[in-house]
Amino acid sequence: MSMLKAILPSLAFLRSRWLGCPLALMLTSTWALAQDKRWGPGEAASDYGYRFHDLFWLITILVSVAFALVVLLLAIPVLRDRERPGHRASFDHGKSLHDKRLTAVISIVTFIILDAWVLVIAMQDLREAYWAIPDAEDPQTYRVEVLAQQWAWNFRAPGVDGEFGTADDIITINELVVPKDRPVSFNMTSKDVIHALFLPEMRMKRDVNPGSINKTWFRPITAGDFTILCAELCGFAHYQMSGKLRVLEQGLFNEWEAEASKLASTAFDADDTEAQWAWDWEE
Amino acid sequence: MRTPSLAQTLILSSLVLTACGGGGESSAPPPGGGPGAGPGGPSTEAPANGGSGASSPAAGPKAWSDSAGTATLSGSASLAGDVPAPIQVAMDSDPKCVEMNSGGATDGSVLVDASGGLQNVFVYVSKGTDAWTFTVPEEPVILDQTGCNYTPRVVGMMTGQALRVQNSDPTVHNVHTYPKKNRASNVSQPAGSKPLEIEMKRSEVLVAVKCDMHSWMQARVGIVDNPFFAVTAADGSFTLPKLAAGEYTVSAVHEVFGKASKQTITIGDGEAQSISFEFSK
Amino acid sequence: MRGISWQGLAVSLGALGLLTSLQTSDDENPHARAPRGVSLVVTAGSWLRAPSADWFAKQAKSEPSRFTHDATAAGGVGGWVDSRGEYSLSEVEGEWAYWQWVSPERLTAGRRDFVQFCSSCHGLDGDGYGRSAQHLRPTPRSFQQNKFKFTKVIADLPSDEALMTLIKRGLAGTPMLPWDLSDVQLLDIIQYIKSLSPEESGWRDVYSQVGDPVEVGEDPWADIKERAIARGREVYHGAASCHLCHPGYVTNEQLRVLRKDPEGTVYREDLTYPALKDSEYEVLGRATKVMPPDFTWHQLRAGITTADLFQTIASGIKGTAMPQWKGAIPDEDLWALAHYVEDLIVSYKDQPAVRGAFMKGLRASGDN
Repeated sequence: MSMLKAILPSLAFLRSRWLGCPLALMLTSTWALAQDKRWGPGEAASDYGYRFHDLFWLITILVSVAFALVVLLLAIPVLRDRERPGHRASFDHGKSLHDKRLTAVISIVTFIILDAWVLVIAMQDLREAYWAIPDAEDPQTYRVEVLAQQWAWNFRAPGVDGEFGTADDIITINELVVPKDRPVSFNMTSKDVIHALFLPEMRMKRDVNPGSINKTWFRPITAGDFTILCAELCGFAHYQMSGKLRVLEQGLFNEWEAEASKLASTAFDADDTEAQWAWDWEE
Repeated sequence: MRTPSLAQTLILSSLVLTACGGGGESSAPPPGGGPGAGPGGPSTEAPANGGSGASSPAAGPKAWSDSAGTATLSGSASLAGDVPAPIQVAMDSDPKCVEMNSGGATDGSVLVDASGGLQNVFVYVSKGTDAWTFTVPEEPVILDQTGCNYTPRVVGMMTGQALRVQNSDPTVHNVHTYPKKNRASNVSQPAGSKPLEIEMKRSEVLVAVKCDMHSWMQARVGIVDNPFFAVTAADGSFTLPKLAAGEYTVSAVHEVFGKASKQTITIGDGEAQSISFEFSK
Repeated sequence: MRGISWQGLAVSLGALGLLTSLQTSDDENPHARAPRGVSLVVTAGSWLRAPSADWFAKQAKSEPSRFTHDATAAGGVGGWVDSRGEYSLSEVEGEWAYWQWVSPERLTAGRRDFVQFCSSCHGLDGDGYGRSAQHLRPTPRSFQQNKFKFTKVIADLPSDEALMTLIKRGLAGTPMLPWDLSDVQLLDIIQYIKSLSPEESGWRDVYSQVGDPVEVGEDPWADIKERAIARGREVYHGAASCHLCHPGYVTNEQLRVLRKDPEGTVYREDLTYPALKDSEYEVLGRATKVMPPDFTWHQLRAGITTADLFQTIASGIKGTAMPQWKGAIPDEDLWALAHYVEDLIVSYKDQPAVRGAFMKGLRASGDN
């Protein structure tokens, strides 16, 4: 308690309405926004999406509990030991061994509960989801090449023949169609500046750099239309660099892929070599 | 650590200045002193620096009269090497075309007779006519679409003369010109439409005319500033009658094989000369 | 500290300040920075082709004090005179045409924004091959080629208004975004783009025509959409034969009926797929090909309302196989086609299951 007493005077500024009002406003508006589902994270549509959900809530709850605890521990002495008739508020620097021990213990416990816990889970998520890029050789894996540019997403899928750089490659701009329940693996690069492929509903986000090929993946578990965004400020029209991700049920997807491949072969101009940009999928 | 000296700083800043400023586009000088040219009335000067004729009246060209043309130049065009086998054209996208070509259709871009004579070569006088001005014929040059093909495949016309494209077929065509110096156009012409008139205001050899709906349909138009042009016949022969005495450069172009080497001739009044052009694959 | 030359430091700071002040005073847009060695300044103005007399007649209505008609202009034919002198009626190569003077200051302003917003795709020189244009199909426009696909204009070149509408709307399904720039900025960029025309072509060609988009007018089928769609289907597969390039959306048997050709032979095997066509658009000196869209599959670029479709069909798409249809078939049929195409889009596009079933039905009908 002596430690708490020590920091009491520095909290005097809380009495100022210049701080109190905005703080109250901030808390209420955050709460109000969180009630609207457009501002919340929504339902995850990929199989690893739950990890982000879990981690998000774990951190939110841990931090909220810690926050409440700190506020409570502050509020008690502020009210109980305040200066009033018959009671004089005192002040000390917390220099006793007891105080120092208490500080150390609280810090270590907080670190273990908050940081270490989150770190362990984060490492686990990185290993089991983020870096668990599916084997490109596996026929189950749906491979997509991404060529980002100011300001559009170029996608290339191998088509029914399963090979990149052939006539039936499905090339789309700002529109990507993938099968449900199959891992979708991306090889990505950029023509110009750094972009980031962001599929918010899939909880997938990865930078796309010029001059190197970045890999990432996800497995959609819900059919429907989703959002494609750029999550790296890439120039004037960054905010418009969006697209549509469509997840189709397996049967429908196979039909779609056959049709898209056929249309792609019709549109293919073998002499137009400049239009070709597929690259090797080497590990 | 050394900081840059005065001289270094100045050199550096001048470099930066040069890189940032200066330069500029080259553009035609505006007429009549640039902005605000002639608020009172139309400016008579050329806005763009087009080649508006800087002709002095003393040595100006005189009007051509047919009586001056007494010489005749004839000749032939041929293709070196084997006679290429005709290429079959699949017209099955439009059964109307198939019906009109019941005996099968072949590609008409390269037509060579047994002795190597190359048809549809556009032969024209490319130099030597500056002494005259020519009147542009009133009547248009006709390019017909029959049996899902252009007839004739190669036509010549004078600059400013109209090209009248008509559709005699029971199906639709689109008349798509691919000029480099003239206005491009692409207009559809369903069966029974009235003819289209296309104007070419600058000389250009050869302008492609294509029907995108029937990918095999192609024609070529040669537009020249004088009336001395011809298209070789089935045996590769051509005649340029009514030339005046003088020195001319004669050029020949084929839609597939491009230009043959130019020939310079000197011809006298009443003379008849013969030249030949050889194309190679 | 030893070795610091205070004099040198002061001069450096002074030079830096001078440079900064030069940059900001010279450069209204602080974000506009060209790559090293690329100038943002245009030193010469340009005379560029202006629209026709009709356009001036329209302008004169809003600015009567500026534009007046002079019956003695153009060698007695008559024409419009601009009191400010920005527009001029002049004779070049024996042709009278309207020209517009664009000052170097305006072109500089246009170039600044062009470099910042447009050059990543359209190239620093407007050649249509900027860094982000690599491998891109369809190719970005080269402003040295002066052909524009979707301005909905029958004339050779679009008016400023037509270009502005296109830039503001963007081209769906391409990196040509709807550009959210001010009208002043857009008009300056447009003047700069026009000034990139090579001599004797585009906006520097006395023979080219500049025009507004096709007038929409009244839809004759507004209340009888069903009949419009039926008529459109007939025209699509009949008189206009759109299926020669786009897919046919009927069976061969139906096609023979629609074409009043019961004896007709079998149409192409892949009738339900579009056919790749030549275009005039070049990349690195080579003409590229353009795929006519399958309306049930591909995204249309220039709008999918009936009016948009009417305008696009009427004007044709410059530089591609799509010809101008205005005048070739009656306006009524153009509207019917627009209704039919719109119906195809609404009924099948973005509905993979419905479209799949429809196409499968056509293909399974025996002779398709």
